[in-house]
Amino acid sequence: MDSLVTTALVGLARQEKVDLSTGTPVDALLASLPDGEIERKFLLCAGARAIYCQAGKQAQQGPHLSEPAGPERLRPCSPGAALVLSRLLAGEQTLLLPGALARMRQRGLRLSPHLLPQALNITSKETRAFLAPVLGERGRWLSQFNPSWRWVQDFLPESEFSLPPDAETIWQEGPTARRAEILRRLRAVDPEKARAWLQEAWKQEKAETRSTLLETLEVGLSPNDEPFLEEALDDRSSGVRNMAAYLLTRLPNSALLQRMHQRAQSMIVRQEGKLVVEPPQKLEKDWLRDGIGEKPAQKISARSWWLLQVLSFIEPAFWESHLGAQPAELFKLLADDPWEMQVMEGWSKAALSYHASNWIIPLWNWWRAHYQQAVEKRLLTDYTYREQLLRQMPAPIVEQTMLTMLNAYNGKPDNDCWELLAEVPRPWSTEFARAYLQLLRQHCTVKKITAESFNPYADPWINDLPSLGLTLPTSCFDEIAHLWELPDDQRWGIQYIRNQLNECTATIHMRQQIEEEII
Amino acid sequence: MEIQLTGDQVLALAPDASSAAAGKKHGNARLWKNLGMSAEALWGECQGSALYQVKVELASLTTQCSCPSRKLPCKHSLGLLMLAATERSAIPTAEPPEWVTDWLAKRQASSARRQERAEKKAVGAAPPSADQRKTAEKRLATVKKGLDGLDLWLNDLVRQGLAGVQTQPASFWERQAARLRDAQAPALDTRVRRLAAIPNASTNWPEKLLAELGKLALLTHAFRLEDRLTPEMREEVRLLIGWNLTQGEVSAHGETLRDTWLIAGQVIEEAERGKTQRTWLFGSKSARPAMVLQFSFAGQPFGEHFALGSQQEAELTFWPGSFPLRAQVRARLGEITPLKDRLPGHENIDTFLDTVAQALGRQPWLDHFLALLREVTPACSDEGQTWTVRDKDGHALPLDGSDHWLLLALSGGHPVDLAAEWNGETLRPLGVMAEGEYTLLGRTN
Repeated sequence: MDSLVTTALVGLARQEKVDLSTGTPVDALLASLPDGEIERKFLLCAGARAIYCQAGKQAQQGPHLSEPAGPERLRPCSPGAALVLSRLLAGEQTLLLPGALARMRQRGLRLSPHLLPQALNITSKETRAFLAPVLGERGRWLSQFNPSWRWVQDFLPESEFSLPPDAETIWQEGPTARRAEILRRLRAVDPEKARAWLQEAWKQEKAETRSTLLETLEVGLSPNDEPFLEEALDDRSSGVRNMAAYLLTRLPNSALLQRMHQRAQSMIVRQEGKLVVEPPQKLEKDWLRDGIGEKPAQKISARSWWLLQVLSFIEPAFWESHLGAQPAELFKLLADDPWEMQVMEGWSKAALSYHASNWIIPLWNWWRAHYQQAVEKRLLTDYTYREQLLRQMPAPIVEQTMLTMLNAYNGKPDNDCWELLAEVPRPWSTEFARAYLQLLRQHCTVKKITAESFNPYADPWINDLPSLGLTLPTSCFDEIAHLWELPDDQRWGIQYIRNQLNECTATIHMRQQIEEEII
Repeated sequence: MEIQLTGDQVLALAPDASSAAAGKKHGNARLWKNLGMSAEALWGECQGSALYQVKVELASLTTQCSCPSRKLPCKHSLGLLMLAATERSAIPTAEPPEWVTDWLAKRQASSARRQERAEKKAVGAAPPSADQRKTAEKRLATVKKGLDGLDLWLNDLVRQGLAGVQTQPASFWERQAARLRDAQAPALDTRVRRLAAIPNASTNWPEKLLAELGKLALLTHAFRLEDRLTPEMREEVRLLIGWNLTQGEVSAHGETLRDTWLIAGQVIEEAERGKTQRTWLFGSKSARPAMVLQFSFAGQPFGEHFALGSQQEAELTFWPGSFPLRAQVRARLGEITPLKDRLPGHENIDTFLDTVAQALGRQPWLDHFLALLREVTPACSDEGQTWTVRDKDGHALPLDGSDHWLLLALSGGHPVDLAAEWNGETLRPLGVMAEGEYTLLGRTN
């Protein structure tokens, strides 16, 4: 701090003699200062010095510059697309954002630079996976400067099955998510080498990392992996054992699968036209080793839990040949058994995880008939089998099924077809959409919904209007605009219906813009 | 006239972020009917809670909408401009309907009348009447008394020592500021009020505070020596103390310059009881900077609208003074076109700082300057806490604040042309020309 500033801080009253010289050309002006108080002279001098310094301001030495961003490989998106994306990124119609980003990726487009800060600030993990492929070179480059944008580094650059040149370095030093990705890609081209890398590092890894890395063996899984997986069954961590067991069940002739088959056979036998189920009274050591957990995670009995786990490991086709019957028939043979619900749950898990297509529809029919019963008895570990099964059914069948349920809708509030409606693949087919809108008009005539007695807040058709914006196919967009002629009425009920409808059209407008602009 | 705004430029007109978001949403052709554009105007009808009629005078970007919103421009007007900017083909060229022509005619008539009246008032009243002379003398006496008080207060501050002000409440500064307002020196009022923000705000605050106090002393000193100043300097000093000119007086006495003006950007600051807005322009032929200063009290909209990031042929009239910078728009003469390719400006930071030094030589109390820097590279360090722009020679200037991610994203580590406001210490980015496109910076939209 120079003398002028120090003097000012302390105060002139506390100084015997005040030195006005600044060591600058300003000192030449001192002589022409008016006579009078020293404070005044001091201030004028300080003012002149300040302006002198301001005018003489010099640039600082520039920092060392980092390497600029490399040339882009993807096409830039159009200004129109950028505008649509900026709205989506700002939080408008967020449900449409992943789809729009996926569309960008399919068309080989990238986000324009001015969208990048907004995009990199997104915190949703799911959305980040869609963002990473469209950030372009610029986005990846930018992310290195901001600590909260480091997540980008967890996603390897595009081109699915190629290994980056620094693969081995990433494997040695990178964060777990990136290492797993490297391993997964290496498995696709050289499964032996990938397993060798993993085996070499195996002992030093933490249990959680071991289980994450082990999962990558699912890519290119072959009998050559069996010895290593068998070893992993002796791991201290139950997570690792469980993962190893899961992978071994995916090897058609693995020893573990044989053991599982034996266990299953001992629990379910066909006797006198019925299936008899009898899980063991206590858990054997070798079951534990094969990834069967001892204590149930949910409030079900330990025996149910063991049964459930074994069944979910086994491919459903095994039962068809072993018990000599088709799925629907098996379900009949099982009827009224005390363990019926648990076996059905195990088979459902297995059918879903093995994508056993001939089991899906019989299981769906069974759950439709028994779902209420299962809910009341609280016997399951999961109550979404119907939804999961619908997701594996072909779209036309799902639509047909839902249409039957909707036709049967009688206005009772406990009807849960509205929850299942969400599982109809989007966008709906034109036929299904037309049929739905037809039903909507039947249930909600203008006369009915404008009546004083109508309560729109409790009406599922009205409450479902906003999601129609997401599900309707393009071909039905116009029909939404002409659904009803609503009276110009300020009643709350009518306002609510109007708002629901507006939400639906806002979504539709956004979808139209996404389709028109992202090309 | 063709409209050549970009979406960003339209959004920059929005009075706040929520209007900008709503404007984006309304830029959808499906919400509009009876759209049209002519040489002077743009119009359309938007279905909101009712059917609203929206019209825009293209040369001045003056908008009017029949909706009840107090905001200017409202979301419908922004939506219409947005549509024109992003989906020009949705708007047919047409003859304006009566509700548009009526409005245009009324606007033109009233603005011509206003200007004429204002100039007549300023010029026509040749010799001041005895009463007016008396009023002027009375004011001069009041101001002089106020300045005497300010000088005493300044002397007292340095006598007691600046260390003491650290513990002073905001009212300590406000009291002195209020005394200056009562003494009819409003510009000094603002200057003193600004001092309150300096103590403890930075490590070198004593130096900054002393500098500002010294400059205040120089200003009162200059005023006392008024007779020895050039007429321009006398005008300047009087403005700095608070003898405001009316728009009519400016347009009668100020220098008018016709040029194609680059509209580089805008800074909006909270001020007492409202907001201050500085719009920075640069004459492409005259190479002169100009600043349009507007105030908005209690949330009123600003009167004059600019398509930031574009250029337009216009006549600006400068406030008289030793370094005329503040200006007002006298007439807008050409169509608005976007800035393209490169910005004019300084090739390196040293020549820019030289220009600043020359300007200070003519008007030592200048606080803000327009910086147009060509081929500078933005860089950040400390994980985004410290920012600079660096020129070809390796010299750099710091940027203010810590959020320049958009600038960094647009440059990608390559040199860009930057427009910024320089306050003597840091640059506040206004806009950047990267890859031939100009993007506004420092706005929250």
